[in-house]
Amino acid sequence: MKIPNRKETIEAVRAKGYQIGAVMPFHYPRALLRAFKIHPMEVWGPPHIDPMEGMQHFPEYTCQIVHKATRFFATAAARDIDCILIPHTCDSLQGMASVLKDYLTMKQPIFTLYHPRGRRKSDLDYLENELRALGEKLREFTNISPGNDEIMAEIRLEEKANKLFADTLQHRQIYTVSDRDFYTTLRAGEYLPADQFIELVGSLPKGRADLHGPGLMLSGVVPEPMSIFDHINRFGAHVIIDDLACCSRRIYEANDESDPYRHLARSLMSMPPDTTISTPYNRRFEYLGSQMLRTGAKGVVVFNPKFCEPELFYISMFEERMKEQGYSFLFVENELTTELHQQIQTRINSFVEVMT
Amino acid sequence: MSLGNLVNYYLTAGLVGKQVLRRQKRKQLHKIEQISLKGDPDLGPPLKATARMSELLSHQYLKGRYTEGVKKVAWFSSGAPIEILQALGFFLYTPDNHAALCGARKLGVEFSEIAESRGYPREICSYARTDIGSYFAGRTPVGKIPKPDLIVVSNNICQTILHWYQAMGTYLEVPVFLIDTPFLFEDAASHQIEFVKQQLEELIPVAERIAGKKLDWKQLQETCRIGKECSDLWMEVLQRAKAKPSPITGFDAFILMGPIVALRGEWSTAAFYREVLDEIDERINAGIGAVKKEKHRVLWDNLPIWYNLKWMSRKLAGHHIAVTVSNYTYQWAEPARYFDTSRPIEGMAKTYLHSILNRSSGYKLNHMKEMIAEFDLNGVLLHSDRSCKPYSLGQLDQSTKLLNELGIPSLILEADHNDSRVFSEEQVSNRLQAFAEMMD
Repeated sequence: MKIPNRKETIEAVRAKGYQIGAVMPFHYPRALLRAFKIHPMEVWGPPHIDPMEGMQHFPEYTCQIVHKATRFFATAAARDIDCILIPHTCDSLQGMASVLKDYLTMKQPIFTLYHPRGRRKSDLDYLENELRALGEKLREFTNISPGNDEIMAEIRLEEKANKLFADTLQHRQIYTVSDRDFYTTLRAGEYLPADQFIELVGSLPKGRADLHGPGLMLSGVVPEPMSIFDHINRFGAHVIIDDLACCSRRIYEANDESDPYRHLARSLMSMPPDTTISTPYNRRFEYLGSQMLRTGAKGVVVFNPKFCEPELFYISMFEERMKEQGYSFLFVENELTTELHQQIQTRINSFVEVMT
Repeated sequence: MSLGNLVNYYLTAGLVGKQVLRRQKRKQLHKIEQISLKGDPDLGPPLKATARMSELLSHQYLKGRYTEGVKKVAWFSSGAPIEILQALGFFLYTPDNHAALCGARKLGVEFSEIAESRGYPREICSYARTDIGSYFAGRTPVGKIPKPDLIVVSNNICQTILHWYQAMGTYLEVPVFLIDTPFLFEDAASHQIEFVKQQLEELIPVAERIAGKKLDWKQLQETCRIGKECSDLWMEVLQRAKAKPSPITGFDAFILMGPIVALRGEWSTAAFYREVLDEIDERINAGIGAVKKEKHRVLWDNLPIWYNLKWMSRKLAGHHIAVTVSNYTYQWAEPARYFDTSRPIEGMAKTYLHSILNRSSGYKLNHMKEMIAEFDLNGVLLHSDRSCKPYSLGQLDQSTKLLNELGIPSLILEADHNDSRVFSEEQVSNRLQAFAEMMD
């Protein structure tokens, strides 16, 4: 099945009366935006953007997602965007939200969302209220006041899509497509409406997957450039599970809260252990260890944009714990380029060779 | 609590330690007098209060050496609410201060390299690397760091601190309690204040269980009252820099802020800042400036460059530039207006939520503009600190706005607060000279 691109999706959702909301990484309430007739389209770079404009606002030790997204918002392509949502994921996105709100003359309103770092009752109460506050701002912006039933209907649809997303990610071995096609399909959820995403993922061919060599866990923020999958396959390995911020770290559990805001809050807080919240290190490593065991993965490749501080803090103990359990471990940083640097290709090649 | 520990604590850290530290203070005062007599072509006489401050902080570190088995120990991040812990009698220690101290003693790189050899990348905060490296090395310039029973961390200064403290909690197998403070793009909304309040209330039973006693609310109110008094006095100290010539520089403030960060809520801290005020007032009355030929008055934005404080201070004074004010030091002064002793928890929630570092870049810019007017400044030094993204992101726009809207020139200095490997004296020297010429 052909995957609609972003431009086609924008045209299609606009025709249905939706505005376009650009959303920065990475936990946010999709259903809430949709209930206010805002279609979320995630911005993870984008890789093909020259980051120079961003360099005018941020020092070079800021991650490329921030540089490139800032540049992207200044381009003609951003004319299609009606509003921007920046979840408070890290210090860099916090800084970006501040610069966009305080200094750049953006035609679009900038919304922010603070995701609490803990997992206590106070965190849940807070997130519920934070989502209500966001809902109020969206109401002011759109002049739309969806009722609880309407928001719940969107939540149910997103939950259906998320369940399929989770099941698919966790059963990589039954899909007869390359790693790149598999993840390209799943990442289409970053901009497709849930119903289209469900249809797309449902069309992935099943059977006995032709997966060669050792299975790997791909960890990190975002697999850009996507050619990393080609190189991993070319060197004789495959990605059997991921711990990517844009993929498996966004598996949310459904719940039975009847109030939509409470429901969304509980759902957002159910994601797997993550580097951007205050997950105790041990809990995260136990979780990742269990994923390695379940899938039979033999090694871990951590693939990150440079200067991603939340990720960097975990690297030392992550490597130590994985090696203790007998797994191979490789950490590479990339600058969110359109092609994978030769040096990184060589490192992946050597890593796979050592494993096999 | 063993009798031996108790005797050791009160005898060694108390009676004997105090005597030794007093003697050290006298020596330091003598040294300061010698320097003052000798005179410096560019800098005014050093503040005598620094000797008293060393005594105060050294005594705290000394007590820390003997506190295990006597008092429960809590580590806290420099922006975290400590009043509940203080009222429960915890011995308090802040790794941030320790990291800064290591930086000032030029140990930042040595400890960072140890952390790096254990897999902590150079791109993470150098305070964290310094502190983690010191832990791995089992060495510290303060003798011994007491093992915590509880770690309390608040992200009102950055998100980095969560990761750093979580790492230490994991190594030490100690519970980490988070006071999560949503970042403020505007003034705090009621649900944000309620959130922090709720967490403080959740901290109480956790801390009580570890302390083995119930929180005395009167004691908590008293601690808040003293804390506010300390912060108010600290604010007065900083405000004295409005005088011309300025009796203190931002570099003095970086040094003198030690007690307000580590020991706020203690009478000894309030007494110390009163002494500082007396000394500063004497200087004002005598017309003594911290920079002898003060010509330009500038603001320092961001953390100090700890390993180069003296060098930077001299270099700037050589260009007749007085760093009159540093917005970083206001972190422990400005939000104290929210302290409310009648409703301590709510007051604490507001105080710690409104920390300057927890506020938007636009807020910080407006704060700078106010300072420029109040302190009659004619330049701004923006330290682009590789190790402090929340402070540094936004400086490029701030610099443009300061020039376009106020005609105030600024200089962006690329460095790092603890890692001297990214600091080039020659390059900074040239840039400072050009900056001075621009202001002339």
